[in-house]
Amino acid sequence: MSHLDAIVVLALGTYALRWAGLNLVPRLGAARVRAVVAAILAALVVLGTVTDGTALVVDARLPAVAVAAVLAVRGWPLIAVLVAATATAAVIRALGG
Amino acid sequence: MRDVKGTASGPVAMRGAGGEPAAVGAADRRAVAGLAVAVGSYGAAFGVLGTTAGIPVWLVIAMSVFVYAGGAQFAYVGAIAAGVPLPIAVSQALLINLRFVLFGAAIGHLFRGAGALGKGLAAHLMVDESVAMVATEDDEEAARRLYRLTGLALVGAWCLGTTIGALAATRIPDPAALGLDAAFPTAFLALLVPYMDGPERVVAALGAAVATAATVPFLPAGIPLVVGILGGVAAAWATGRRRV
Repeated sequence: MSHLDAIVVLALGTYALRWAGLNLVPRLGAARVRAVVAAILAALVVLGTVTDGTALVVDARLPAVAVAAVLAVRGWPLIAVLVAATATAAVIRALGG
Repeated sequence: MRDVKGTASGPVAMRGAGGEPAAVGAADRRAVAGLAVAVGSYGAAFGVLGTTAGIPVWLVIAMSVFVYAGGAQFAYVGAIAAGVPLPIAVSQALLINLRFVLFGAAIGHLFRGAGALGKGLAAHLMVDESVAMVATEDDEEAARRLYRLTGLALVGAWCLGTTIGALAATRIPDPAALGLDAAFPTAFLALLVPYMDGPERVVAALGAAVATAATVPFLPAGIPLVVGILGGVAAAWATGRRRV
């Protein structure tokens, strides 16, 4: 198998998963969709904050996301929350954290 | 962003004088721009990593265009760099993309009436961030508009970033040093907070968070996210039933 073969398989397989999700999953009721959305967002938060995909990892992302939580609760615009959280992580890392 | 104190849950759709829906609002455009910067930076990092691992420049760029899935792309390159056989590297990457089946379930209703081309493009643009931006938007027309903007902006940023990184191949600063890795969970959390509008959603979120964290150390990359989402939905369903 060459890289080209592998990437063709990956591209086709990925598209099939995307297409299946959009078209094959039976229409969910509104309540079920809301639960799925909440679950997706929460799972993505955890995955991106305290893991590296295969292990639990605590690093500068955790305080950054904590800052984001506070600002989000206070209703800051999303772009401002992004900048604040990113800056928090950058500063912590610059300081050796 | 959303007006946390208001009635609308999700991005506020601007309306023209006659009540017809207008373009995507300024707050959302700014948020998409911010996400595009983060996505583009990681695209550049991928371009560097892919070429460094020995994949030809044109194929690194093609991978970003035709696979367009950051987690899977980084996983593939990481695996081959570690000497993993290519078929296994592909399988590992596909596991990470299993999430798209659940994402599709969450936003599929937006594209029921779309033509084949529209649905086809919508499928390709589906990534964590484009789904997150629109999934909490109640107004379906506004959600589709925002999805189009977010989807195109992020795929453009990812592919442009990859091209720059693949051609430069060195001296691209690590996005994590700039805190950009925190941008993604930040966006998801900021979109989740105003969505916590009832016990069922809270249970789903908490269940998913716990299930994801609990399974990450034990399952191959990609599976914990799927298990987490299904766990959250199951928890919400179980507690909802008891209330009935």
